[in-house]
Amino acid sequence: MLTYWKLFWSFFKIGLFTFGGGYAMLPMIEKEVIGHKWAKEKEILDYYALSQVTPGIIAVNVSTFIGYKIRGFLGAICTMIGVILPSLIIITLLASGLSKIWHAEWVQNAFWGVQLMIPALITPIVLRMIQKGSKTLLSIIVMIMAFVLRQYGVSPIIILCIAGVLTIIYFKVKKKK
Amino acid sequence: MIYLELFWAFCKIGLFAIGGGLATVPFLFDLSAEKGWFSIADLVKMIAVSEATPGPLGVNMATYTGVQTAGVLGGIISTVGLVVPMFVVIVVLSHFLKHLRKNKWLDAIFEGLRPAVAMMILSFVIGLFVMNYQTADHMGRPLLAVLLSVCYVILTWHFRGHPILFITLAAVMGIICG
Repeated sequence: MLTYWKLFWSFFKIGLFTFGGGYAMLPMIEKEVIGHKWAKEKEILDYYALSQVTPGIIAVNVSTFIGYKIRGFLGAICTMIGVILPSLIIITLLASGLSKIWHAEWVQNAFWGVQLMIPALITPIVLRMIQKGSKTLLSIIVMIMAFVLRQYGVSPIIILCIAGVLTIIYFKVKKKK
Repeated sequence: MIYLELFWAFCKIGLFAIGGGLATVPFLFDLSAEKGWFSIADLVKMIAVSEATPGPLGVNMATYTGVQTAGVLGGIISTVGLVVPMFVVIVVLSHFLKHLRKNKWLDAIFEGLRPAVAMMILSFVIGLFVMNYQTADHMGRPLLAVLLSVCYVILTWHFRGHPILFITLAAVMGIICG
């Protein structure tokens, strides 16, 4: 039972301290999931890849994947509910009467301040990922492709499809040699 | 029955919004035109609030629209409607993935997908830095934003504290400097 509660609580915190969803929750996942040794970094990247190409909100999908991986169906329910519950509570409060607080200047400034921190929190994680991940010719080719195409606004789904095709070609060629 | 309608409307959004929170926005525009539950002006306000508050944008939007349309229960029903389809899809996929993991080819393909994801995250981060600068420029304090951003990068690079700590610090700094 303890684990279900722990799972829920970790993902409740992730939901509460994620501003922007999807990739923005990476620093919280690194601390709460990889830090607890519940999943490895490369598994998280796999879940992001899969969440990009499946229907739904990336943050919810990644949370469900992790929950299922750790404790099966019930684990997935814990992490999914955990990650959406803070939104449900905060937005319900804001939408039903607390909007005055929202418009207070100090609240706006606090949220503005938080927005500045989000990219800074992801920067060291993503740079370490890139450094660790760029060991093979394949990964370097894929990285250049993904970055350039993304800068031109190509959809992540198409980028991942191209990456998949490149990988198959790479391993076929490698096998022949 | 408004609750059933909300549930169904958000089920469809959850199933067809591929690629995250912002993908739900066009569906909400359609919903506004089709059902008249909320106006476009409401929607613009909802997006602003959903983007700044914690939590995934898509979930925030669903809750907000639900509450605006049919009160607290409406918010809960819309949110549940949104997440049920994706939950089912991911659980089924996870189940098959467990067996497929032993497949060498699938494993090899993930080798190539991971660097792509890492670079998409980098691209996202750069986008955030640029957006933060533009927002601050608009508010007339671009220098302050650059200064704080540089300090924060140095800070996160050297100290591996809990993100909650850094976020709280940033909120306090926002109040002090703002």
